[in-house]
Parts: sequence; C-alpha cells; structure tokens
Amino acid sequence: MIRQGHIDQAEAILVIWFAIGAKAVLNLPAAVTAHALTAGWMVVLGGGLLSLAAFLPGVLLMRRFPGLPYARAGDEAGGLVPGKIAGVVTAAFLILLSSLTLRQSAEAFVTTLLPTTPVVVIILVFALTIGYSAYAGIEALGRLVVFFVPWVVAILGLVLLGEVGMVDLRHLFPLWGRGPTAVAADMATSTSLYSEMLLLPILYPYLRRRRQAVRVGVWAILLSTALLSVVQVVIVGAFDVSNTDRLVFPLISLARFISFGRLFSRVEALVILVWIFAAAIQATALLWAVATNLAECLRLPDHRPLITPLAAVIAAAATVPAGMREVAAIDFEYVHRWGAIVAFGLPLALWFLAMVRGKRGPGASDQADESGASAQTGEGGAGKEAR
Amino acid sequence: MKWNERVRQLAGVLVVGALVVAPLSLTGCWDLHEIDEYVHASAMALDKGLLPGSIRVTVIFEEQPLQTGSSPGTSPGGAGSSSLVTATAEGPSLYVAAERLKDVTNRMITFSHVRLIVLGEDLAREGISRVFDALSRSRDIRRSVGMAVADGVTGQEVLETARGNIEVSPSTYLGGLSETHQVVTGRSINVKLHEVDIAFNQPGEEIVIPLIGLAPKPPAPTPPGKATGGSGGGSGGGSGGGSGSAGGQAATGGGEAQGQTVAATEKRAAVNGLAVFRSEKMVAKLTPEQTLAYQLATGKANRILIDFGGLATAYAGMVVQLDPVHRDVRVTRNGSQVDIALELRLQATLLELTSPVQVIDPPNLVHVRALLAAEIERRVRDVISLAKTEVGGDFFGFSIPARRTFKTWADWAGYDWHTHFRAANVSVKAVVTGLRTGLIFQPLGPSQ
Repeated sequence: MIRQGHIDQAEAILVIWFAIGAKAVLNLPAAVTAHALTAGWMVVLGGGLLSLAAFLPGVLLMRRFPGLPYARAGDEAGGLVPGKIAGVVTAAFLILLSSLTLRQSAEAFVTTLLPTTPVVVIILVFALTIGYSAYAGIEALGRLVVFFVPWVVAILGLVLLGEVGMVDLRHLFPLWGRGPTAVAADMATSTSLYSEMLLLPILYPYLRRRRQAVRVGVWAILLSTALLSVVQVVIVGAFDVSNTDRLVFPLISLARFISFGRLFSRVEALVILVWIFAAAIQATALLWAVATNLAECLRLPDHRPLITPLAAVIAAAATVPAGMREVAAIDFEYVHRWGAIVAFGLPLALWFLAMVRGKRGPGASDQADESGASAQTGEGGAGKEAR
Repeated sequence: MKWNERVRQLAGVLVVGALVVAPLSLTGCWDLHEIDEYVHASAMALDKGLLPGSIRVTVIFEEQPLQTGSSPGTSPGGAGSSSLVTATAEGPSLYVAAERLKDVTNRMITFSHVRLIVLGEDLAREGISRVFDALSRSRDIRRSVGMAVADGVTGQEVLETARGNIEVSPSTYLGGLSETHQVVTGRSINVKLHEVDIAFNQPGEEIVIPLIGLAPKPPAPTPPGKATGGSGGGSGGGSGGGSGSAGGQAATGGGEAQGQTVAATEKRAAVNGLAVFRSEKMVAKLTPEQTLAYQLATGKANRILIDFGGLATAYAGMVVQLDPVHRDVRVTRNGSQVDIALELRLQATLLELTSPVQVIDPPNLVHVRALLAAEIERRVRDVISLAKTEVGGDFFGFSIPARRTFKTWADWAGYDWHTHFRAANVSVKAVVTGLRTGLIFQPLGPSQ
C-alpha cells in the first residue's frame, strides 16, 4: 500500500461531505426538481437513507482484506482480471465525476462572475489548483477541509436562512410529485447522488482508526442528505417548481437575493468565492482518489506521478461538452442516475465474489482492524503478505 | 488540545479567512474592464417602440460628475454631487435595445444596480413575454428588483418626470413608493421581479404589479428665510437633482433654489392601485381601495387604513387602522365543484373620528366592529367578483392552498384552475377584534 499518512474520523467525514455536498451549489437542485417535481426533497432524502445501507458492502470488503487498498482488495476478491477491470472502471468513473464537477464549477464561475473569460481558462486554473492540492496528499486535504468548514457552513447558513421569508413551503405540494411509485423508483436511482461515497473504501486504509469507517460513512451520508434535502426544500420553496427547473444554478440565484440593507447588496460574490474553495476541495478529493486507486491498481509505488497526467485528462474531459446544457444532461441523466452501479454495486459485487470464493486477507476477522497507522508502518503486515 | 490553543487556532482560521476576503475590496477592474468604463443604470422603463414590434428601453443613470456630461446623446442634470441622466433606445428586442443604449452613453452599461423596472401600460396590455425572458435570464438584473406599471403613461415619462421632494434619487423615490405604501397604508404592494417570474410561469397564478401614475407636483415648501438664493445643488436640489433626457427634454430642477415653481416637466408619482394580468397581458386595474381588499384576500396586508361610516357610526366618518392577526384559506374540491373559504381576523385601531358623535360606547362597539367586518367582507367579495368576471382568473394565490388537494403534479397541471375558480363558491368571513381608541375615549367637540 502506498504510504500517504492518515486522516482522522472528522476529517474523513468532512472530505466525503464536501465531495457529495458541493454539488448542491451546482445544477443538482434544478435537475432533481425537473425530474421529481415537488417530491424532489423526498427523492433526495430517500436516496440518502438507502445509501446508508448501500455503502456497507464497500466497508465489509475492505474489512475482509485488512491493510490492502481498495484496488488490491478487488484483485483479491474477484481475481486478477475482474479486479483490474473493477479498478479501471472505478478510475474512469472518478475521472468522469471529477471532470463534470470541474466543468460545472467553471461554468458557474463564468456565468455568474466573469462572463467574458473563456471557460477553458477557469478549467485550467482549477486543474492546477486541484493538482497541487492533491499532490500535497490526503493529510493536507483533511486539514484544508477542517479549515474551510466554518466558512462553508456560515455561507450555506447565510444563503439558506438569509431570505427565509421567500420560502413558501406550500410550494412543495402536490406532495407526491410524479406519484408514489415514481418517487419510490427515483429514491432507488438517486442513491447515485451519493456516488462520491466511493471515496470511503479508497480512504479506508488511510483512516487513523479503521474501525470507525462505518461511523464515517454514516455521518458523511447523514450530513450530505441533510444538506441536499434542505437545499431542495429551500429552493423549491423559494422558486416553486416551474421556476426551479429553469435555473442553471439555483443556490447562486438564491444567494443573489441576499443583501444587508442597501450597502451590502452583492453578497453572492462572497458566496461564490467561498464555494469555489469547496468545489476545489471536492475535485481535489476525487483527483486524489483516482490517482491513488489507479496507482494501486497498476501496482505503482507512488501515486503522485499520476496526478499531473490525470489532472490534464480531467481538464481535457471537462472541455469536451459543448456547454452547460450538455454537462447537466450527462451529469443527471447518466452519472447521477446510474452512478450507484459503480459506487455501490461494484463493491457489493466484489464483496460477494470474495465471499463466494472464500477469499479473505491474512489476519482478517469480523472485527475491524484497529489502526490504519500501524498497518502502514513500513511495508508490513497484511499488505505485504497479500502482495 | 487545550482551550487556549483552540482559541488560537480559531483566531488563525478567522485571520487567514479575512485576508482571503480582503482583496475583494481592492479590485481595480471587473471582468477585464476598468470600473470607470461602466455606467450604472438605477432604474429602467420598458415601452412599446415606435416601430411595430419594437421595444423602447429607457434607463436612468445617477452618476458622479466625473462620469457625466461628455457622452454624446445624453444631457447632464443639475450640478450637484450627483447628476441624473436618462437615455433611451429602441430595438426589436429588449436585449438589442439595451445594447443600443451604448451608442448614446458610450460606456458599458450595467443593470445590476437597477432598483425598479417600470413597464409602460401599452406594453403591459400587449403582453410582457417579449421582454420577460431577457429580464429573467440576465445575470445583471437582480431578481429582487421592484416592478411597476405606468398608469396611463409610458414608463419613459415616469422615469423622466417623476421626482420626489426629499429623495434625491428617482430610483429610490420610485422604487420605495410601493413598499412604503404597502407597509403604511396598504394602498399598494411591493412586487419584485422574482414574484412576477413565479406567477408568469406557475400554472394557476396570475401577475399583479403596482400601478404608478403621474400627478401635478406641488411646489416644495419654502423654509423661512430661504425664499431666494442658495444653490441647493449640494444634495441635488429639492427637486431631485434635475433630469435630462436623450429625447431632448429640458433639464430641470437640479441646482435651483428651493421655493421656486417646479418646472412643468417635473411631476410627482401617484400610487394608483394595481395592474392585474391574465397570462401575460394586463387586463384590469384595481383602485387603491380595491388594493386594500386584495391585500386582505392574499394575506399580503401588513397594515391597512380604511375610512368608513354607517348606521353604527351615526354616519360619522371613521378612519380605522387594521392589522391582520390571522388569515386562513381552505380550499375543498367536491367533484368539479370548488369551495374556497377565506377567514380573516383583524385588530382595529381607531385613528380618527370626524364627528363629535359618540359612537364608541361599549354597547355600541360590537355594532361598530360588525359594521367594519361587513364592510371588509363586502370589499373582499367585490374584488373576488372582479377577478371572476373582468380578469377571468385567480390572482389571489388561492391556487397555492388548492394544490394540497391534489396527489400528483400531473393531476394539478392538468386541472384548469382558473376555470374552476370562476365557478367556485367563495365565502369570506371577517372578524374584527378590539378597537383601540388611541389616547382619548371621547370624541372632541365644542360642548366638551
């Protein structure tokens, strides 16, 4: 396993929360509303609650192969070829997530602040930023997240509560949107909104206390679900259904209402500034994950040489869609509808294969291994055995 | 970690964060343009153009002296600390017309500081969808900007001639007028672009926008000892800093001394009630009196003033302030029949009794309250009746509680609410509580 230091429980929760929650500022609320209408908040909430069960196989897989990273656990569980396929698919999926995030973030920046600046310039600046940040490693990312949490929470609170008088909860009726059956089906597919939970099995070896992995996952999902659901309620309450689905960035549109008297009337600039850092953290987490996972999959001794080419690939992929409309379509019609297959289905399949094939890492037990830090000391322990 | 270490850590976070934010205030340009390349529109009027299908855009700039006076096609206003400049342009669409404004300003125009958009009545009656897409789509125009319809005149006339006596800025004067009346008298409402946008797109809702007309302006009062002289320009003058227009109207006011006759081109704005739309077209006007009833029916009323009289008041006129305490709307559907029950509870305060007749004796109070409640019910029923007949649709927002009676959005979207509203049984019940009398019980009279 590549040695990269460790992050503790709170940092891991917040990294995943940023990765999932940052898209609340993007097109997601509008896309959910366009699909689920007034029941969007239920769909997001239900998807989150289902994700609480869906992420567990990933943790169980990692516990079966203590000391191994996710890519190598896949090799062990499914065999070399299926394991490599799983590793490549995971990497491709994370690259797709990263590039979509990057493009949407750049579009948000250009649309709201710098309309005459080419989007490619913003993408390149973003790519350089997240490349540098990912190069600094998971420990630096964890501390960065902790630093930004108060600011992001304050800004989110400002946006969500700043114009609470605009929010009319009666806009959430008719309650069932497209109907109870459709809501139930949408809840199942909307687990894909939490696809970034794929970070957890990749982060798993780097948790300071691995037995806290379940707690990390539960808290990350609960916080993300709360954020996405509240955003959905507030946005539809403020804009109603027929207006929300037309907005490109609903939360930024909401932020444009906020003013403190007539002196401070462009608060959204501050909102976007802080949120840009949140988006960068999200993209950094994804870039770090894809670099680490791919390096482990390819059995490289270090993930850092991959960061620059992967950042370039992500930036290039981000420029492929012709415009925001295409990005939103790819994001919601494909990634955030079927992404759960990769994010939750793949770990489930690998865990299932491991059980069927009776594969288990040396030293594995039903009890979680106590410390990620000790397992990484040198090339020791189960990791070396498995290699 | 010790407590003081945590505090130090938090302080570090705050300091670094503040340093990150601080450069925002140091920017010298914006989006590749220097700040002084911009002019900031503060109010906008949209009218039908002279050519068929064209839109006329009028904007008002309140610029510092350094930025005014040199641009072709504009005329600077008075020599105050700020000057007012209006510019007008036409085009086949709002965006094209706005672009053509640059020909007369020779500057980059930003609309992000616009406080009010005035729609000309002709345009409003023809339909606002032509201009509404650009308004909603613009990243420049804020959704919190106020909206108004010019009553019987063009929006351009309103912007060019309506000037307050106290407010130097016409956008502040005009933009705040409806808001002030909503809060103080209830004779108008403050409507934002955002609300119009929602009503424009949402099935079952209709647009309502305040009407602003023009009225002759009384001369500003002359302070003792200041009948002549004085520049008045330091604050733009009592008549609002003057105005000039690209259309060639004479610049007025501005630096002139207070107490002089107001120029004929300068008028005051008049709050004339509400313009009611059906779909995208203005179809009816509500008088200020009907506006009171509208506000009660919609729950937008903050405080309304009502003057009335009748048998219970011995035909003495009473001015009463009503503060809404509770409003409840229940919508029930029985087959195709819709029943709407509106219940209002209001707290009354007596402001004025224009007769020495004693009408507020405890035994009579119950009759006064009943009369007041009946008066309110009548007014609300009348305005609802107007909605059913003249407008042909629900502009009270009863559709919002009606949505609760539907299970799915498809059921609601497929339901023709306006048709059912027209046939709906609407019951109005008003309850007036209290009747605070102010600082005196008895009416003043010569014999007392």
